[in-house]
Amino acid sequence: MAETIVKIENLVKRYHELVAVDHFNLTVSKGEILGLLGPNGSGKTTTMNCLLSLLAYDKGSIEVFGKPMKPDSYDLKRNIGVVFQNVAVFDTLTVQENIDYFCGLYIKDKKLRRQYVAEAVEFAGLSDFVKFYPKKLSGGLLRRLNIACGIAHKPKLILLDEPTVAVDPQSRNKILQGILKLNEEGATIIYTSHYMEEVEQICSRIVIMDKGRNLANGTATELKQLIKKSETLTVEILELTDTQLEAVRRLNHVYDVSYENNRLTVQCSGGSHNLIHLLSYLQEENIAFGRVYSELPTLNDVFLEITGSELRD
Amino acid sequence: MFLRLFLYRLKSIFLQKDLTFWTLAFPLILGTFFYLGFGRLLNGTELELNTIPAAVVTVHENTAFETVLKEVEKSDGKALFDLTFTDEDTAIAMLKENKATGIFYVDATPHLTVAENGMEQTLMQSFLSQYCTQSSVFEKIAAEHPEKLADSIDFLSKRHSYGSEISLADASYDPYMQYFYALIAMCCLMSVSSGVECIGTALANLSSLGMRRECAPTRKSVMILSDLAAAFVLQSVGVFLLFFYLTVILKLDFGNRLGLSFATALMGTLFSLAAGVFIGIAFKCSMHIKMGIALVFMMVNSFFAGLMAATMKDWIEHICPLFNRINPAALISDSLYALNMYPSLTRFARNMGILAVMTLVLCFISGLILRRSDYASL
Repeated sequence: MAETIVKIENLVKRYHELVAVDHFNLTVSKGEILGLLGPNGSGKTTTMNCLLSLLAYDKGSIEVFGKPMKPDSYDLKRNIGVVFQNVAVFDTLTVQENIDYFCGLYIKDKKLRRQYVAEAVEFAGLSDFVKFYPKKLSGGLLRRLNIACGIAHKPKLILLDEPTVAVDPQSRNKILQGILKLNEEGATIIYTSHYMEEVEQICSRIVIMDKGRNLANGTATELKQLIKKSETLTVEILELTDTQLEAVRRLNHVYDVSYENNRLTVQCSGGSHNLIHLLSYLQEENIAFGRVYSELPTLNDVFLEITGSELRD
Repeated sequence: MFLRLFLYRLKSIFLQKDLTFWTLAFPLILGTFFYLGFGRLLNGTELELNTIPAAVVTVHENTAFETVLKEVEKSDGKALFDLTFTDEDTAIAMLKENKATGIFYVDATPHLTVAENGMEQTLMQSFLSQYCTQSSVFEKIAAEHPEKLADSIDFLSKRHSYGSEISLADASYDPYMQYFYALIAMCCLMSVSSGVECIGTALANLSSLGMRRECAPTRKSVMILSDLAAAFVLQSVGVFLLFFYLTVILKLDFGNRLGLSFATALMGTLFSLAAGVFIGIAFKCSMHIKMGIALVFMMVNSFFAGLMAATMKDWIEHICPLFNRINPAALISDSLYALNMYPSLTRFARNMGILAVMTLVLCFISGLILRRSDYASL
């Protein structure tokens, strides 16, 4: 069984009347990339801040590397790297100086630090910008500097709080590849985001949060299996009678159909060959059809079915 | 660790353009304005005036006034008036042609006519007013001892003071120096903002930088102290530049205890940083409001220390002396004054003692709050 790196039990954090984190439980094993997925205001960042002992909490316990996490747990903090949502660098230090400053808060050995800084610069793709001041960097490069400052000391546990907010697709992809690389090098990662595609792309396990609660957790496939929908079929049809629509509804594994704007949408639950069954029926009835789409459920569908609202709301 | 953090922060602070402007350049600019405003008064040089051309028309005989006018005209050095004794029509023509600045009418009660307003016209009016005030004396002397009239005019035209403030510490005293003492005090108090800024970048509930730094396995105290040390160096450079500019470039006289004067300013800077740290830690509000509080603290204390009116500190001393004992700007400017004026260091030592105690108290309270604080929200 893999070593437990983070263990949160019954965490409760209130802001006056508002319960931001509500009896939240989480276990993160060594080598995992855990995605904390939830809409804005779901309690992801608050949970992270409690985990880092930046925030006092009302109830519960937090252990990191098997020890209770406290504000003065310097031995634990030494092995944690953090990348916050907001860029946190000194505007009047260059890229290299910023990385060296923050790395130096963790690593005292000058030679080792120099090596780590060089590696972080390389990792973040900032080699051509080491003498640049942050104000001269583009948004994407600034985010990469933010990440480099958080991971330069080679932490065993890395917490990334929405590191790709307001980043162009190219930089976002580079950041995600970088996170995978850090994980390959042995770091355990907790990644919070409200971008389900990102979470699905890089996370080995996903926890869905809403209103401070842990709604579901598992791999992307496991989460999708939790819900009724397994496939959505869409077919462009010029004309479809109510009788034909009812016949489609009676096909195996179909639980919902709709026909709007010359588009037939069929929701299927489980089963296989649903598309073949549908197309066979259309051919038998001599119904002319155009383009055909088949979509597998997304994490948004999972969130929608669990909470009744869209993830991006 | 401390040294590395200190050096990085030093570089970071020195490259903050707005901070370096207010710390290094602004006091010099304000000092220059003060000097331009009070420069002639400080140097003891008088305004250079040209001899004023004036016409004199006799309406009714007034020997005393005529004699006074003639005495003023032929006085030693540059004469105040160049007089033309003539009839009224010619005098008016001279006035219209700008050949005369004004017309003195010799009458039982002398009077004056001028065509426009200006410095020379004001001087003529001032001369006439002074004569009218002292006319009875002049008339009596002209009647009884006409040969003494010239000496009398010379004596009465000068202002006499029977008490004057002198320095016992080998420095010249000038009341306008109070403005420069207050300026140095203000320069020291500018460090309050630096103190607030140091706290702002160190605490997780005030900035993203604070959050990142608080996640590190480095003691908060080490980070804050290295930041404050860097801020202290910047502020000290600002104070040194101001002293250098005032004493070497503008050649203002700060007495022969420049070392102690500079030490006073450093103590003031230290206090101000402590006050900034206290504002940053104790007040539960946003950074903008904390900066606003720091600014108000600096301006109010500087105002009451005489930055805008040199006599303010004396007035406060009369109505509420305790305020002068706890106003850091007043303590700094008073220490500079005491170093300049008194051979004894008692008053200086008392002021420095109060500043030191206040600094320690602020540091102690700030440390206490910091130790006990945890964040309910970020």
